[in-house]
Amino acid sequence: MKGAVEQLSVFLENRRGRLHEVTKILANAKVSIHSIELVEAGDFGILRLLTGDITLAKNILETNGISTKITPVIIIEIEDNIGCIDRVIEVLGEMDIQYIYTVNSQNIGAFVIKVDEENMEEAIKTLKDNKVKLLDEI
Amino acid sequence: MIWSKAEIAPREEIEATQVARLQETARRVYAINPFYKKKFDELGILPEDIKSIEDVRKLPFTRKQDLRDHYPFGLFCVPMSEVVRIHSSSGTTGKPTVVGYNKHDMDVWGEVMARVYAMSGADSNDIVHNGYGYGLFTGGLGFHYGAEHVGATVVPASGGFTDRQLMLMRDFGATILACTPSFALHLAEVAAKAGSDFRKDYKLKAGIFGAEPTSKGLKEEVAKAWGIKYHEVYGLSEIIGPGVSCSCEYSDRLHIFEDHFLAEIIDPKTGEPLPDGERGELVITTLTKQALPIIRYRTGDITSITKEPCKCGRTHARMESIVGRADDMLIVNGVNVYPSQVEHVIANSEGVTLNYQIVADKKGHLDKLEILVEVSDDIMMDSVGDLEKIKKDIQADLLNNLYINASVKLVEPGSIERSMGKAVRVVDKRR
Repeated sequence: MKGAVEQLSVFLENRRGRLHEVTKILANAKVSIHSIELVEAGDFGILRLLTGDITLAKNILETNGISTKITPVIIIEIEDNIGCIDRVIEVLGEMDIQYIYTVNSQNIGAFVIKVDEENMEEAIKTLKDNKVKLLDEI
Repeated sequence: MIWSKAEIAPREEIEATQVARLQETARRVYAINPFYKKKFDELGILPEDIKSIEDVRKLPFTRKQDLRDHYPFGLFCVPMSEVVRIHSSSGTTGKPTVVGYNKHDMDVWGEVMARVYAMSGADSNDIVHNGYGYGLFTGGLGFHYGAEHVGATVVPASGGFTDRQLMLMRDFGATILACTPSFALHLAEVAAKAGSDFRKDYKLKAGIFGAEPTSKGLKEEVAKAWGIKYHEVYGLSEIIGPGVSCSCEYSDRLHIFEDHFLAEIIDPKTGEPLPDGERGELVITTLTKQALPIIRYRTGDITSITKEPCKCGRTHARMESIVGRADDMLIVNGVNVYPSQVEHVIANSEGVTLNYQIVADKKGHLDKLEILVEVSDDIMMDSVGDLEKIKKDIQADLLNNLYINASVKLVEPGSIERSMGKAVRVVDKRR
């Protein structure tokens, strides 16, 4: 989908060393990790990654028996002024935002936003109409 | 169609027949077989002490091990000159169990299997495609002679050669399919390669399936795949083979042919009888078998029995489709739990696989049950809420259906310990 970016979600059991196993597999496969977000929920967690070659990342993890899913998300550049996040949230209005996390690169800050997949297209259009800057990658 | 008047006899008549035949069976085994004589004597019981149906409880149990211990013919009660047929279990765990039939027994078997066919709507106009394996296993020949008994045309296809079997089914116009449910599903899957309207090439109207544990989901799948009525048959070689009970057109419970088999439900741990409707181990006494009569055989199968009237008019009691094996039973805070029941709940849950493990442990004085379930590879979700929901739904289903309070833990695919390729189902840390 134009305007959306593919994010890789990884199911992780909450046990010692498991996160390292996943990062190791990706490092060995020379997959670059652009952003990493770990959500924990008791005995399991979800690792959300923005990576270089996402198809390779998914395949290599699945070969190692790790459950993954590719989800479309929107990356929005954060302008360095007060109220910019408020404006984006306002633009999205009634849409169901499922989660948000922030990411940084050398020059810019951004946040990754996930809305209901049914509303994805509408969200992207609304954001663009309101001149919110969407990024293709981070 | 109801094959025999015995199937619609009033309750009192059924029980009068059972008492008379039980007395006769007890007399015979006591007089003829040293194994039974010894067991009766140890309990201080004589065949004359049997005066009512309830008195069967005074008799000793017979177990699979007893048949193995007297391998091959030690429990037979007729001279070998009278025995006309031998069947045997596969014996994957030690010596096989061997069973024998005399001419009279073959007639009994033909009779009960004829009832099975009639229950499935078959008569002499039908063509029965028999996909049960022929050989030492009782399935093939049991279904074969039953079909001949009702005068149907039987095609002795046996197992394997799927494409060839489908060709025969099409060309001969088979109307009744007899085979294991998994093979029936396999046949349908292969047949469907010819196109989604493949059923028009077949004339099947009913199937008689059994010989393996079957979930409700699989039954529905088989019935839907072929567009036919599913009749479930139950039996075991130690008792006679297929033909102990079968489901009619109105109910998914199986009518037990009570004039030939006396069924009890007991608590598998204590051996005490359980009331109608309660689940426990099925114990069967043969009432008319001569070559190998069996007293109170512990089937190891878990089911319940009801004597409530059935719409079909048959008065024979009905048993539930087998819900599990007594050997697998766990008692958790006083509640009996069978892995198959847990499996049934998991099978109906989305986002998880059928690879699960039940872990029983102690927390203080109480038992606690944890169920590990592998998430499926393809429906892995991105939302913690969705995953938590899967967990909570399974927990709620376990509580509502099995009355057990278990915590469910979602684990990664392939992470549950495997033994011979199958996930290890039960880990009891209380032992």
